[in-house]
Amino acid sequence: MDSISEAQTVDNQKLMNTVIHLIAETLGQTRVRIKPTTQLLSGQKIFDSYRLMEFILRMEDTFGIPIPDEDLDSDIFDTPRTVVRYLLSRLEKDA
Amino acid sequence: MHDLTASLLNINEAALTIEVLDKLAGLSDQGWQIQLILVDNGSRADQVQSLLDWVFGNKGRFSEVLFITATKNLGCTGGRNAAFKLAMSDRILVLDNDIVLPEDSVWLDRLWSIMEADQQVAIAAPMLVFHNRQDIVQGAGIALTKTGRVGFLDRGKLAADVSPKPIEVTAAPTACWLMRREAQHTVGLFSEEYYPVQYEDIDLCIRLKLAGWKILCDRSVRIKHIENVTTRNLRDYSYVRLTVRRGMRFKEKWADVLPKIATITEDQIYWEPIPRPKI
Repeated sequence: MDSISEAQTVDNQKLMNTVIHLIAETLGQTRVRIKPTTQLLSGQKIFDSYRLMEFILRMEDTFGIPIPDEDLDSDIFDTPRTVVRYLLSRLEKDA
Repeated sequence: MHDLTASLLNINEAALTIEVLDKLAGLSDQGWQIQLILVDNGSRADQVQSLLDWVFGNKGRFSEVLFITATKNLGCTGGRNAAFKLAMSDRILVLDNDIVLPEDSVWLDRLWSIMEADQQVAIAAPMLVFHNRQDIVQGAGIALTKTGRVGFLDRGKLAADVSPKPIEVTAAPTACWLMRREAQHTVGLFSEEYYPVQYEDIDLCIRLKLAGWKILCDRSVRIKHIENVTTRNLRDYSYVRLTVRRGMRFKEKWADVLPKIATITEDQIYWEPIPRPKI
């Protein structure tokens, strides 16, 4: 692994940790174990529509980017991994 | 004969507001001495004019009418706080303009009676039903989960299946409150941190409860409520984002208290959409 991709991996991991932390904050409890592949909307239904919006507001506050209503897409918010992918694309675009 | 102060807000919904005002004037005709405090939260000129015309035509039916025309939206927080500051009676009737009051005063007599029967009651509220489906409960008071989620009790149930007995609840929406002014004085005003609206009523109820007061929902009293009229005129805010944002503030503020006052779990929150026509 070259130094650039290694740095990227570390950044992605940091982003993943932040996203998982924000999910836990949104749920108001830390006991639920969230993994990068945990399904947020289907399966266990970690989020209902209210919690999804709270999570989005927390992301907007944390990352300083507006998340428009058009992006409220179940593919984007399917798992922490898809959320991180979305954030990376948004942060790159806004950089 | 009873004295009370009635507080009503308007924002670009003069027709609905006047329907409520007509019912309040009708109460005056039935012997109630009402100080009316009407606050317009920056409506269009034609809307204000409609209210002004109504006030001039009906002011003699009240012990006093105070019509405040704000040049900007004071919010439900600021508008109702203005009424709290100006209220002269020991009982304050706090109303939304999207409730449909009955013609007679039986509903108010009942709320008055349960407040008189227990000096610790700060708020007596009715059971709200959908205005177009009055057989279905919109909410018989509010309960909270330990994470601060709001549940409208008995929501979606058939009203006929709900016991008519009054129950103590954690909170009630300000759609219709009969409030003891002494209790309001002990906890102060609606907190402006919830400007313009959402969660300010629950916040005030928690402060009342922590001060030892009771909030009652008299489920024998059914009042029709259209719901979401106040919030549909919040031009500068996305309703959903505003609600969740104020909910986050509420949750953070009361994080230590919520586990102690929670009476429902997340599974008990019923928020399925119930179809209703546009008004």
